[in-house]
Formats: sequence, structure tokens, C-alpha cells
Amino acid sequence: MNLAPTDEQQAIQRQARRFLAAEITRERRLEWDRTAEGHDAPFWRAVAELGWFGFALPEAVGGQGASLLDLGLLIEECGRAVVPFGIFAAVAGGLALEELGTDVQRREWLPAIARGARMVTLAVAERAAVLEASALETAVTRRADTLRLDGEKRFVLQGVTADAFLVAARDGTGVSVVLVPASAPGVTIEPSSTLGKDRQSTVRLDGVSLPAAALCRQPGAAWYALERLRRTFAALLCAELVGGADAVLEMTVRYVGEREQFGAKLGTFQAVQQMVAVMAIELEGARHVTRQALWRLANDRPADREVAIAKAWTGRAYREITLLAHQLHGGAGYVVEHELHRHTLRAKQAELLFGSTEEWLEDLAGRLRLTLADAG
Amino acid sequence: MRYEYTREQIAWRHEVRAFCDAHVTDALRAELRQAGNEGDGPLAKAFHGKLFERGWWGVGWPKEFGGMGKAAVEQYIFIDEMQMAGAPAMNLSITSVAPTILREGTEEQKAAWLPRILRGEIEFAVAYSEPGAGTDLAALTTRAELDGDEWVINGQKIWNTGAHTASHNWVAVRTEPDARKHEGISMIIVPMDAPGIEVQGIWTMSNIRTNAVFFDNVRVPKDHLIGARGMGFYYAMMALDFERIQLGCVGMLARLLEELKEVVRRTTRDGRPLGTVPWVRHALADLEMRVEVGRQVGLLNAWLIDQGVVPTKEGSMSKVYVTELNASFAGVGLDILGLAGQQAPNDESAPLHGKLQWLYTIAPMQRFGGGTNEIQRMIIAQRGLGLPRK
Repeated sequence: MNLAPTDEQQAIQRQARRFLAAEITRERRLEWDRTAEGHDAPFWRAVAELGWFGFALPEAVGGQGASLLDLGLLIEECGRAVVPFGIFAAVAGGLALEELGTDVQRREWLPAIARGARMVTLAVAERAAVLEASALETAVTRRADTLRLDGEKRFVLQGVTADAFLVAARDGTGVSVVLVPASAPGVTIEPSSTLGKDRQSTVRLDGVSLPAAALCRQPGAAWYALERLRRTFAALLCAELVGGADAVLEMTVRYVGEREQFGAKLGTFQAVQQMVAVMAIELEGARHVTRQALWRLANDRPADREVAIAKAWTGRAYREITLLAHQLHGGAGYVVEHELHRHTLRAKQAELLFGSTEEWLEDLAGRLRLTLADAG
Repeated sequence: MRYEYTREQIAWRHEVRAFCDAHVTDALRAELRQAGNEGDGPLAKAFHGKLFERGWWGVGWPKEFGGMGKAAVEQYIFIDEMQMAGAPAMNLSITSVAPTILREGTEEQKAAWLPRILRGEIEFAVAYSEPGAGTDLAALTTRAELDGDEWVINGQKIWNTGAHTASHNWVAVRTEPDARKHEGISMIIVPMDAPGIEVQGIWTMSNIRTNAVFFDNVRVPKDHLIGARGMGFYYAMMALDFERIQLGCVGMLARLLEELKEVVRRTTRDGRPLGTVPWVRHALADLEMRVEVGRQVGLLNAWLIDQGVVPTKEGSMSKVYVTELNASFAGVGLDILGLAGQQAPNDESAPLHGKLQWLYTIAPMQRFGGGTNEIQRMIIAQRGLGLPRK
């Protein structure tokens, strides 16, 4: 057992923290809030130049070949700075294409993704389908060398700036994934407003016609790979939440150490100290169940149980930490000029992404062999 | 980073587990249950004897005093496995008194006390609290005055658990009446057969006996004061840091959780298998998650000790987390058992032999004992996170 990040891992975090602190000013962020993209091009380019979009992609395609654990540590820093969520979406999209793409698709897309020149994003969820393959309504039909896609995908992360979508679609009795260029005729992208103020969208596919080469690997049998990706993304998202929770605790400690009422610093009041300690305990648990899950994923250990625990605990912990922070900040933390609200909104939203807290607990329950059906 | 035991740690775990498989018998577990899980019956004593034979009595003690010199993570693994097996807990002599003598005692004191503790010849009760000094331990008034070569002790202790069976008492006394309240306390070893000691039993909600102990001109040799005069309060606090490795172990909860799952698998209620009831599934998954979080926090504490850190913040976190979890685990566990949860431990058909009830009754004590959880959170806030005191 060794719970300390290596020198190299510490350097990853230090450099990321320094970069983000310099880039992200309050004014710039308020400007980003008013853009369609949620960020600006120079920032995206600066992130690309650091190689973050290809950080965990293979070196052969221009990536850096980092492990999921190292990627998680980088993402912790993104969470600390509440970077535009499009960064996470782009990184996840790259990993998804690496996993699902055919050799041809990977050769064509991954180098550009690693450079930050292009972006793909996953499109799985629908109005009535989130975790269950048989509930998907979007369908792909194959005729000769042509595919035809019809359906509507919702909650597509950073869909507004994506160059292509990895669309999960019913294919006969199974599920296939199709790489759909955003520019293909019949594709309509509509932004959707979300709690976390990120840039999700609804993607409609009306008789979209594509060559057969758009079909990804494991046609008709891709659901298992999609589920594995959801697990990986849930664990990576936890890293973002851990970084965010760390930042919230830090700003709260600072605030109650400065703010005075009744002639005393808030931090001297016992009620305040109790709340801050609760935040710290929840965070420490979250940090280590998350790093444990990522370590296991990165080292090819069975990780299903640990990911479920990480997402259920960390999602809840970040939410509770932000709400306690509001109670301690009072009005000062309630305004949009204060960064706290970004954490608060993202925390609750993140609890819903890649499987909610309750869904992961049910997933975990299914691993406890409580019934004959679970045992199977 | 490595979120997995090393090969050596895994081998150590297997070794402890194999020992427990061989020596923690159903009869021993039954004896423990009857004694309210306070392990001082004949089988528990015999089990402790076997630990001693193997040199496992002082797993974390240095080798020159007959211990194994194991690191904190290995100690954690040891205790975790013992708890998983349902073995009797190590007593306070080993977890609390001996490490303080080791760290603070003179060479003569170490030689005089440690081998006898290690051989199980003497056993300590711990006397800190007084009627007027509980959470505010430094307010204690039991005093010891030097008279020639002897300390003369007068006063009263309470919650002195084990004082009626122990051979010795580890007593916090005021020796420097003019010093500031935290700096006037010393630790003195008092043989329980010394004249002037009166022990009165107090029976608690969990059926565990504790005691009020009165000292009336009790005389002990001068060298029974351990370490430096006036440092007793700090020694007591440090001893709690050691205890927190043990307290942070979730082996017992992991065992109870496995037993609870097994009950759920075997139970049909109102015509449906209990394991299909959504709230039961949710509650068990929630416990599974929280036990795992507790394991991580406890291991973090142990690991930091091995890095040479005194993990005051993490030790307090682990104490708060696990004791709060014990309380809610017992409550939720009894909910899952339903009406059968009422069956008392002495009812042969009680599910889990009534252990959830036992946990339910000791959990409040764990939350306020050993430094209340509110004090622990203040330690986390002030010493861990640097919140202002004034």
C-alpha cells in the first residue's frame, strides 16, 4: 500500500494547478458563461498544447499514454478549478473512440483529437433510455453499403461543439455504435440548458445516411463496451468531484477564518467547526475511494464494486460539501461573482451523470448476491 | 500510489486469518457473546495465551521488548482480521498503556513493566474520568502528593472499566497543583491490591460493568509515576492516537455485514425474498459503501503513522467516522431484521446472535467515549484545518 502520489504524479497536479490558476480569471469565466461553447478558442488551444486531450491516448496516435489514474489526478485539478465541462467531455470522447472505433476510424480521428483539433462525444441517453439497452429507440438499419439512422439523443455532453457523435443505436436485437459527423445531412443539434451550465445538447437524427464504414467495432454487440466506458467515466468524473470538493473546503476554511460576526471569527464558533470537520471527513473518504477505483482500473484489477462505491459516495459527498459551504458562506457565496455556485450546480448535476447515486447503489446491491437473480 | 496490500502484507493477512480459523472457535465466540463481548472468560484468556505464544501479543511493539515491530498498516491488518474472525479484542494494557511506557518510560520502568504486560501477568484498567472531569479531562482533581519515596493518592475515578478484575490501574492524577490545568497531570501505576482502594460496580445499558473507584490515602512507590511529571494529559492524548488504529478497523462491521446479508438471503417475509425488497437492497448497498469508506479512512491513518506522521486529523476522522457508522449500521441493520431484531442476545433464535442489538447499545458510548465526536471534529477543524481558536 502506498497512498502518496509519485513525484511525477505530483508534478502533473502542480503544473495543471499553476496553468489553470493563471488562465481562469473570474472575468474570463463570466465571459465564457455568455458564449455558446462555454469557453473561448485561446483557452481550448492552450489546453490542447499541454496535451491534455491526448493525455491518456496511445503515443502511436500522438497521445501521451498516461494511465487512467494519472488522468484522474489531472482531472482532480480540473475539478478544483471548475474548468469548462467540455474538457471532460472531449477527453471522455477520445477514450470512447479509442475503445469503440475501428482501425480506420481511430487512424483518422485520434491524432486530431489528441491535438485538440477535433472533438467527438458520446451520445447514448434518450428520453426513455439511460441504462437499459433494450429501451433504446434510436435505430440503425443496414442496407448494402449504407447505414440509416433515426432517433433522438439527449444530454450529449458538449454536443454544441462536437465534430462527430458516437451514437448508440439499436441494431436488430443488439446495439451498435455509429460514428456520425455533426455535418451529416439529417443531423440537428439543439443546445439544452442544464443545471451545471455546461453545453449539452439534444441531437436529432432524421434519416441520416452514412457509409458502412461509419459503423464502430463490435456491431450489434457494443453495449458491453459502452457499459464499461460508463464505468470508466464515472470513476474519472469522481476525480473531478474530489478536486472540486477540495477547493470548496479550502475556500470555506479561508472564509470562516476571515469573516467576523459578533466580534469573533466565524471559525471560532463550535457549530462552524463541526460543519467544517464533517466536510473534511466526507472529502477524505471520497478522495481515497476514488483513487482506489482509478488505481484498480489502471492496473486491470476488477473494479466494478469500487467504481460503484466511488460514484455513490463521491457524488453525494461533493453535493453535501457544497451545501454546507453555502450555509457557512451565507450571502457572500450565493452570488454569481463567487465561484462557490459553480461547484454547487456542478455537484448536483454530476450526481446524475453516468449513473446516479441511487442507481450505483442498486448496481452495488446487485453485487451482494442478495437473491438468486443477483447471483446469476 | 498503490491501493493494494503488498505481497508481504497479503501473506501476513493470510497468516493471521489461518491462525484465527484454527483458534477462534464457535465456543470462544459463544463465551464472548455471553460476556457482553468483553473478553475475559477462560476461553478468551486461553486465546490470548496462544497469541502470546506466537509473539503476537505485541504486534506493534519493538522487537527488543518481545514484540514483532510491525508497522501500523500491518497492525491494522492484524486487528482487521481478528475482528473479521470475531476474536476477543486486545485489552487496553496492550493498545494503550504499554505503548506509553515504551515511549515515555525510563529504561528501568520499561524493564519493570513491559515483560510482565507482554506475558499477560499483569493487566491494566484505565482511570481517566472523574465525576467532574469527563470530556474536559484536564479538570480532574484526584491528587497525588509525594511523601518521602511514595505517592499518596486521594480522590475518585469513574468509568474505570475493568478495575474489578485488573491487577493494576493506570491513573491520571494531579501532581502539580500550581501548574496550569493541562500541565499539572501525571500518570501513575497503582496496584489494585494497595490498601485504601474501594471499587464500586456500575452497570451500563450494554450490560457491561464499569466502576467507580475511590482512593483514600493510597500509597505507591515513587517510581510508579511513568515518564515526566506534569505530562500525563499529553500522554493520555497520545495513547488515544494509538488506540485509533484499532478503532479505525472495520473488520467487525464487515463481519456483521456478511452475516446480515446471509440472513437476508435466507429470509422470506410476507411472501417475497427479503433480498428483492428495494429498501433492503438500498440499505445494504449503502452499508457496503460506508464500510469501504471507513476502511479507506482507517488505512489512511495507519499508513500516515508509517510515514512518520502523527496523524492527529486523520486519527480523529477515523474515530468519528467509524463510531458514527457503528451507530447507524446497528440502527439500519435492526430495521432490516424487522420484528426479529427485537430478540435479545440471550434468545437462542435471535438473528446474528443479537449482535446488532449489542452494537446498538454500545454505539452511543463509542460516540461520546474516547474523546466525544464533537471534540474530535473540533480537533479536525482546529489542528487539522487551522481554524482559529479565538
